[in-house]
Amino acid sequence: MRLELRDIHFRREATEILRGVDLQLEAGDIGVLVGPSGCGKTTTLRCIAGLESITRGEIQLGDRVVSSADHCLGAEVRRVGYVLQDNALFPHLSVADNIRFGLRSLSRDDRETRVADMLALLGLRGLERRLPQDLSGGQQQRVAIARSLAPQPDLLLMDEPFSNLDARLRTELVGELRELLKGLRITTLVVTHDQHDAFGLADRLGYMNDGRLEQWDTPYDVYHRPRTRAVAGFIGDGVMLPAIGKDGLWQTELGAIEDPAAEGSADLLLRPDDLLHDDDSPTQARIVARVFRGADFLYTVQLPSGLRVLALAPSHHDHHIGETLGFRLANDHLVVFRRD
Amino acid sequence: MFARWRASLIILLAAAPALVVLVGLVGAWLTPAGDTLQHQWRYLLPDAGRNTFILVMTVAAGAALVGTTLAALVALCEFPGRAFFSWGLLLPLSIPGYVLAAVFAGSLDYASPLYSWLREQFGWQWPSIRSLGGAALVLTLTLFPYVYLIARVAFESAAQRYLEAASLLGRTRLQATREVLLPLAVPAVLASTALVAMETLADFGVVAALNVDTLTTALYRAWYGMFSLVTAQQIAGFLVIVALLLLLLEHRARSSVRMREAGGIALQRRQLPPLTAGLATLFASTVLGIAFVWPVAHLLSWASTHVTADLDARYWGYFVRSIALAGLGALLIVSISTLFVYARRDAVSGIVRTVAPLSTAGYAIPGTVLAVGLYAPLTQALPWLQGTLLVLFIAYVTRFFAVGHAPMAAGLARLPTALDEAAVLLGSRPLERWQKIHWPMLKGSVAAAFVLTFVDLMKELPITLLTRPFGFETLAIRVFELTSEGEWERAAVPALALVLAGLWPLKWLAGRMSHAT
Repeated sequence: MRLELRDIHFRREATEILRGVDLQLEAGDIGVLVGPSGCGKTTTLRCIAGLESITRGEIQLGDRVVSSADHCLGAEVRRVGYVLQDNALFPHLSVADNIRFGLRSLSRDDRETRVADMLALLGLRGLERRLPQDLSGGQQQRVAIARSLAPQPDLLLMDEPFSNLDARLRTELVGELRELLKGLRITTLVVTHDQHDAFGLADRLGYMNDGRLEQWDTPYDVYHRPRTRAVAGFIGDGVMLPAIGKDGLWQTELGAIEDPAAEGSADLLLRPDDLLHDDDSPTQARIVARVFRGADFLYTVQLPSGLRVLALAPSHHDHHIGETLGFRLANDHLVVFRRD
Repeated sequence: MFARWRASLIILLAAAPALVVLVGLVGAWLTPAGDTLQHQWRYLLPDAGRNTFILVMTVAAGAALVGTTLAALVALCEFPGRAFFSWGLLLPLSIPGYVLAAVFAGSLDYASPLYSWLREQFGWQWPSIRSLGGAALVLTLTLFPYVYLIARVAFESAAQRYLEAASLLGRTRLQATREVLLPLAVPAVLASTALVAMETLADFGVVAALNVDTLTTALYRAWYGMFSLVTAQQIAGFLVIVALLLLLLEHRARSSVRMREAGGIALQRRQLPPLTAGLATLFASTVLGIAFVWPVAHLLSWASTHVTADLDARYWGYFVRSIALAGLGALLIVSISTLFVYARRDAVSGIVRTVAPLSTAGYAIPGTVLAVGLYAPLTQALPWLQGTLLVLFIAYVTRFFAVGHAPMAAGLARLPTALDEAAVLLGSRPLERWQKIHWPMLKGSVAAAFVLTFVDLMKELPITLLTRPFGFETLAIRVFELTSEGEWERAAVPALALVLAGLWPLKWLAGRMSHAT
């Protein structure tokens, strides 16, 4: 079901935690919110779930307004599934009973069919009688997802769903989860602090900062066309290259870059993949750090002015710290932040 | 810290008294019953056994009901006075059961001024407090705080997120409480109720003061009145079996409590509607009023009329002896606990590990049983022990070892061996390690262990009564003797001293709880 937040505000005591969040998530899409801790991501989820009452604005689910300043539909009747951080599985109930918990309104037969479906869907068959404490972290995560999906909610919310898992399991689960949610065509909003999880899951990616949603776009656009410096700094690696614009050219330490709009002073966002290693290039700089990442090297090179930029090179280009590295600009579009 | 064999020896020594008692009791059961026992079995024990059973069941049910209700109210709801009641409901712990019994007997008895006045003015009548029902009431009022305290912690640690998870799955707050929070708290309620049952089973002071025949008074009579050691030991053996079963229940329930602690966001309390909130306040004040305020007020008024007449030089004697016994006993228990927790950390042998829990099992053994079970074999083996305080101290250590052991074990648990290893690698010597690492980190636990055992020993009655040298009187003994002579009002001064002493560890407990939240 479609989700829309219109200018929502939330205040706890004197602190304004949300200061006007706008967001639209189309039915069946997966949205992901990222941002520094304390930026209001979890609060946004709690407001959507009905665990908190917003102080201004409107939350609309499908064609019904579920929250506004003077009205808040209770969480227990909102038909929103929420996988809470750390799962909050009931420790005294078995896996099957945890999943069954939200199915009270179904007939006995329907209930058992649904539980069996969920167990099968999430690969939990054979574990139905276990208690949560006897499961691995990944299994607990699946049970929590199964429990939230079982009542067939109109919307699924997930708060840091992978925070307890190790890196390998995360990558595996991210892929599985996207496939599962897309298969069920359930609208989902996920909060995470990990941009790799975010890129893997999202149809729509949002960056929250200080109670506001600074950008809400496709993951590609958030990465390549960040709207604010904060977004550019948070998502992906990158360096700001000072530039002076004149006559359709940006003059930078790495040379001139064509841009009809070039004017005044600005910073250009330089991603590691905008600089390609090229031994024949006239632009050379000294390597001050390098990180071997398996498939490639991420070099940090220092320009004569002292500015350090990142350059990506294939794994077999093994250069050492102190050597000079040749590279050239290979950006296909420009991200400009004016300095006014 | 210790060589392995020394560690094992310390643990075996700490477990020894409990072993002696158990072996002695098994021996007594194997001895053929004499005439006195047959007489007892036929005429006295069926009644005493039935009374004990009814008493234990009633008090366990009453304390569980009152304690859990209050715990749920304080942990989950907001009502006038909640902040006060959250610690105030622990106050009844400071009143020894036999003191409350004395107050109730003295003020509600048929001949008491209050009862006479109510009878003449309003024609009110009520059943005598000196009955099984009266004993159950008094014990419930002194023991419910155990359930309250443990259940409240369980409710609070269950955490907001379980309530939220339930509400997202379609439950109202009330349904979520019933379906999630109550089942989660069951092990805690069960564990604390087992504790209450153990205390009730072991109680001697209350039932003796209210003239109710139970197995502990039967044991006391067999020992003191009929001088039949075998009879006493056989009754004791029965009590120990029941007590150990209760201990087992408590242990199993508690281990599942640990698995269920959740952490996370603290519980958001729900504001009760005005009428319900008023009822909650009324309920909590009534319980606290009957169990603490009213008895203390009574003791104060009695004491004020008798303090000048009674507070002579003899009282200083009772007072000094009480402090000396409790102080020495506590010192002994804390020292042994300290050695014990270190030894247990170092000991790896399987047998020693199996025996180690026995040393804390003494807590489950009723004081009367311990006194008889230790006094008989020890004085038979070493006749010169008769008339000294040594048996008394051994019995104290056996019974109250667990009280001192708990904070010490918790303290040492915060001091992992990795810290020692780090210190050793930095070239630190054993004495230096103790001074710079262990003592600073453990001194809080040592203080806690001392205060808790000190106060328990001050209030202790049956062991002191049964193993003291002839004519050796303490405050607790004085209260007991005056009560059994019906001189309740004169018992007020020593009783108040005991209550005051009992307030001391509560302050510590309350401080710890506010620290935890």
